[in-house]
Amino acid sequence: MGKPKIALYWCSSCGGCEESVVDLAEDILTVVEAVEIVFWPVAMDFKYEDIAAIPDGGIVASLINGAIRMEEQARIAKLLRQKSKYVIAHGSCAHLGGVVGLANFYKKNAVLDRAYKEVPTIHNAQGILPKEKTDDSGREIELSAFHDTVKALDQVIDVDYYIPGCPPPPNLIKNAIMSLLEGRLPPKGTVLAETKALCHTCPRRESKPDKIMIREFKRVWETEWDPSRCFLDQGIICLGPVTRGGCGERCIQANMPCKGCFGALESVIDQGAKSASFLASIINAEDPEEISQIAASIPDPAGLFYRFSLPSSILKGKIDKEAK
Amino acid sequence: MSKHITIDPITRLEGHGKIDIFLDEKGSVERAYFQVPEFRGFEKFSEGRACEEMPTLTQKICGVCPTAHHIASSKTLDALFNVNPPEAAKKIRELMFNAFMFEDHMLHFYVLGGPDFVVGPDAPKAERNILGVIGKVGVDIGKKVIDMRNRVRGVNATISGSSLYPVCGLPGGISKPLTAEDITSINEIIVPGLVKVSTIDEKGVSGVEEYSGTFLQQLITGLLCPPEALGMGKGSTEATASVRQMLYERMIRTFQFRIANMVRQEVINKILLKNGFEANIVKMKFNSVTDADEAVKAKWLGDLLRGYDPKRGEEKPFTIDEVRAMFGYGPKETGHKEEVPSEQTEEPNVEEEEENENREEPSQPDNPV
Amino acid sequence: METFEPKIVGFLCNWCSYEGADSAGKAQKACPANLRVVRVMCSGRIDPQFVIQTFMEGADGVLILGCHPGDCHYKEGNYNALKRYTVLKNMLKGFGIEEGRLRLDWVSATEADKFVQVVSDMVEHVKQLGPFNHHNH
Repeated sequence: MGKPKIALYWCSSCGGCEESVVDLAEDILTVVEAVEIVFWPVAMDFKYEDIAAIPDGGIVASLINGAIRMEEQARIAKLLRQKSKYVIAHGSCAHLGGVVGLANFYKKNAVLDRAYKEVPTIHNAQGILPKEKTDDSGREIELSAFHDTVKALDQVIDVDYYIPGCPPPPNLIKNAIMSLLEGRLPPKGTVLAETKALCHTCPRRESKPDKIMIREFKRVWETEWDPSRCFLDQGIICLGPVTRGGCGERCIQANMPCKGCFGALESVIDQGAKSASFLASIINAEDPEEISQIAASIPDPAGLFYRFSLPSSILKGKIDKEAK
Repeated sequence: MSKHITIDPITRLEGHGKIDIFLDEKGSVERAYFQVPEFRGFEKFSEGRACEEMPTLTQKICGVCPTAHHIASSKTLDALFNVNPPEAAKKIRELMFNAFMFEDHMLHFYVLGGPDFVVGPDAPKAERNILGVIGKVGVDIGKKVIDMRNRVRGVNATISGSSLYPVCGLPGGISKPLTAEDITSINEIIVPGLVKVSTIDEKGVSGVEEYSGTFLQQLITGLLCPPEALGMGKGSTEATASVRQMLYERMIRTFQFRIANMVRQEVINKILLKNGFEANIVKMKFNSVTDADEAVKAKWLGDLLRGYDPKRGEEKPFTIDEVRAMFGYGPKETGHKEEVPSEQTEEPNVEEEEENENREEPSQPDNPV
Repeated sequence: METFEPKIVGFLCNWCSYEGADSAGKAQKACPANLRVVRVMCSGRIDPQFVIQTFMEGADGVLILGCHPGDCHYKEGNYNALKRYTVLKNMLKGFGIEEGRLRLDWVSATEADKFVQVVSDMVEHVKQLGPFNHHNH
């Protein structure tokens, strides 16, 4: 019968999710004893034609990381969906859109122009942009199209499970794979991490008072803070209350606040809106002028609150008024 | 019969790529194209974000080298705020960067590029990867490598939260000092680890002779071989073969250099003494470098570059046309650029044998932060 | 060309502003028909997710009306509403949502005239801004 087949693929990704798999360290040997990896571009030489040759449903699980930004990524995601029994969205970009989703605050043309024409280090006098088809003296080559917006994986294919994080800690990945192999999967659609907010497991939770009231939000370069006390209580924006736990509080351990990479809690559709909501509720003022002033001390609220989740938010990106 | 071959995707590197090769009627490579079907637009979507977000935002450009972006961004913030970080912060950043370079080179050597050398490009597809490498060198060495890399990444987790996602960079410094316990735990990883790493090298990764041999062959072919034999066409691809060899050479040699730099007798003695042994009863022997050795090596390398075979005698070095003939090609009309790799600067500084008391100072790291 | 008639969704709190709207109705005051009312128990109940979802579902403007400061039936609910509205407004700027599409005001149970005034002002303002057509999907 052969070992169960696993595939790993990266869409619009940085490779960090791959690294977190490699960070399974010795456990990776246990995993490869139990499975056959049939596709993993970062580490193995299998090509797209090798996936196409596998019968439908022949792959037990595909772990797909990265957001969908280009047509090729959508195509391969769909191909893997066809060939796999389960598809697991691996990492923040696949789960929520990730930081690459911040590009949804800009129009596609603005993004391309900036990188290919405007940045100080580029010399592109002819203003050449990537093209889907290029003909060089009769030799035709193709390059994948660039979508207008960034999408999360489940906006393109049906996803069975999510492993959150940017990148996910290796133990979450290992647990997911072992659950799969041992046949003890939770209900479809489960995010494979904690169900409670980060605050529940935060090492600083003892120092959190019952009621936090702030007169000013401070940026990390304009203040010193006590490394043993709750960030919010010291006026530093931390998205722990609206972020799913399970990450091991890696950032908190390094004395920096949570940025929300594990995404929203169970019944929340829009993590950014909840961030706005809770940060507003800890403002210690009643006068509208004072409230305005304190609210103004939050830098770039849209970018901060939707850092990882813009494509999967309600608005998905900047309002695009142009009729299609 | 003209033909169009596509390699899609390219593998064992960080990133996306596809290669299109066009063959002419004779089956020679007429033209090759490399395209990157990936673009995210960090240059644009970073605009409008708070400046302190840059270290953790730009590091998402690459998950293999996030630390490099993180530190570059932190230094940019230093400049933006016109501040000079305290010495401790600079040293911790440097430690972080060096630990990252170490494990990153290990990743490249064993997981990414290494299979090409250890397993070889002719091995079946399913073996040209880290599993094939472990298959060749044995599970014990494989485990040692995995363990070592993991522990060094643990060093960066201690410093910055996570080796995968460092967060400590701030304008003017870092968010977290190293406590005495941190330093002890880092030392416990690095110090014995260094000996472990040099043990691997001393015993030799099995296949290392093969890889050296292959590497040398590639060096020769890259420098002297007609580009056609390497499947490279006319035009701008002519320099590619030699440049490629230089790059590979630099990567592997940098790796060796860094290990060698960290292996010092005082470190070994520390471990010996800690375990109740006398100092100097164990010495690490690397590539011995005496002046005589240097001279031999220089001559050998020179001969190699000129295609000179001592067995044929002093008077008759190989000519370019003779090399071309060996590969089945006619004489070359135009001159072929023989690029000499400038590898002298990255010579590993290593321990001497008992007779030679001189210990060379390790050179400065490439990029002090 | 058809004149644009904005669709405004109003979240009105049960104790003050809803009563105020009701009293405007009872007094048969002329009021623009653009408003669709959603009654909540307290303006502090309004989750920013509601506001954003409302825009996505087709509203051109969102109006939040609560009790005057100090008069909240639940003591502090309206202060929370004011704080959330302030932070939310700033956040929505980043999405290109113009000033004035989201508005918060205080209307007591007896302020029928104020209710009419606030709604009329809002309709005028959003008419100037144009439809909230988005093509985000």
